[in-house]
Amino acid sequence: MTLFDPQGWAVSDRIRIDRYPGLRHGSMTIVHGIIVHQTGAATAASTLAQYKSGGANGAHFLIDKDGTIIQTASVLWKLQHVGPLKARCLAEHRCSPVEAKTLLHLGVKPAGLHELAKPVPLRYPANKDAIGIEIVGAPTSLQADGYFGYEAVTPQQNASLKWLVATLTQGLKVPVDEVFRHPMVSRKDPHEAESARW
Amino acid sequence: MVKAQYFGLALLLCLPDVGAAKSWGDSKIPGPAKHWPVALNSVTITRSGHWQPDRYGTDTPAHCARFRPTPAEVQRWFRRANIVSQSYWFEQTEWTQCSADGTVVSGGRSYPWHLDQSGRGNVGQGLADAVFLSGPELPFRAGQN
Repeated sequence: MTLFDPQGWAVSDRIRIDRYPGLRHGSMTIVHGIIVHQTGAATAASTLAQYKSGGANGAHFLIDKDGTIIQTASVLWKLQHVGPLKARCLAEHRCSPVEAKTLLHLGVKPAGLHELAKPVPLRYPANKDAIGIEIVGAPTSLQADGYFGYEAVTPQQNASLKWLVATLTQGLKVPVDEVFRHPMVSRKDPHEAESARW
Repeated sequence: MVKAQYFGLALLLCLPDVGAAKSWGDSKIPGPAKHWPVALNSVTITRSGHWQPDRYGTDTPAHCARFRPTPAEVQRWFRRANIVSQSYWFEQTEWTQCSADGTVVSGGRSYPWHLDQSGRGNVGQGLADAVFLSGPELPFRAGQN
């Protein structure tokens, strides 16, 4: 089954196409992973309005609260949706002592650049090789742990997310264990997408 | 009372020199664009070197303990920071586990601030009242971990 046309747009009745050329920041020639986000805004319209500006940041797919899947960018486009990478070897406790010490003294952005020099799966998928899926959802209130909460992902959104992740991982031959919530791979609010299930 | 206090801050931020920035609560500000427009009379630090647990985090308490900005550094950071939208602040800025908190006096009023070592900050605490800021990353103090 053909999943995408030659230009990288989905060929599926379940996916609505709504093109935002301003999201493009180069080309993506290989996909190593998928990053699941929440928009930080209450409505799809709000996020899509931002996508209209030139040089906008966003993801390839947007899942609205009713479960509607919108493809906003070609899967051949490199987008800016991840941010500086966290050190995967620190999270997986396999950094050498020398690298662990080096990472400790690097700032957020230099550490992200340090990671980018590695191949997946030694690093997390990044802008250059990751598809982004945004789930519409706003932050809520400050939680007891000192971070802001996010709206719960709706059952319709999770059903669509599960279908989309399965379709993309099978169609693009991406290992399921290379699908991550945004705060796992980059320094974001740990509650972002925490109720997302796939 | 607290709401009224933040409303005062909101009014200050709506002065004409803020330009097109009409709201910081949602999506009307697409990204970093506007510098903090408020004259700061004083900055007080109530807590620094703070470490927050994070299930995905790899920063250690010892590492965060070295995040000790001085009032002058915080004041400089406020001067260089940009006001950003709530959605930009959540999605595009970086979150570390190391932070500092304090109060800032402006126009005779005191407002709480929170500053992440990454250069992400906010004045006010509730989502509806907060002003969201993005500025340069702040340094750690030299020392052992």
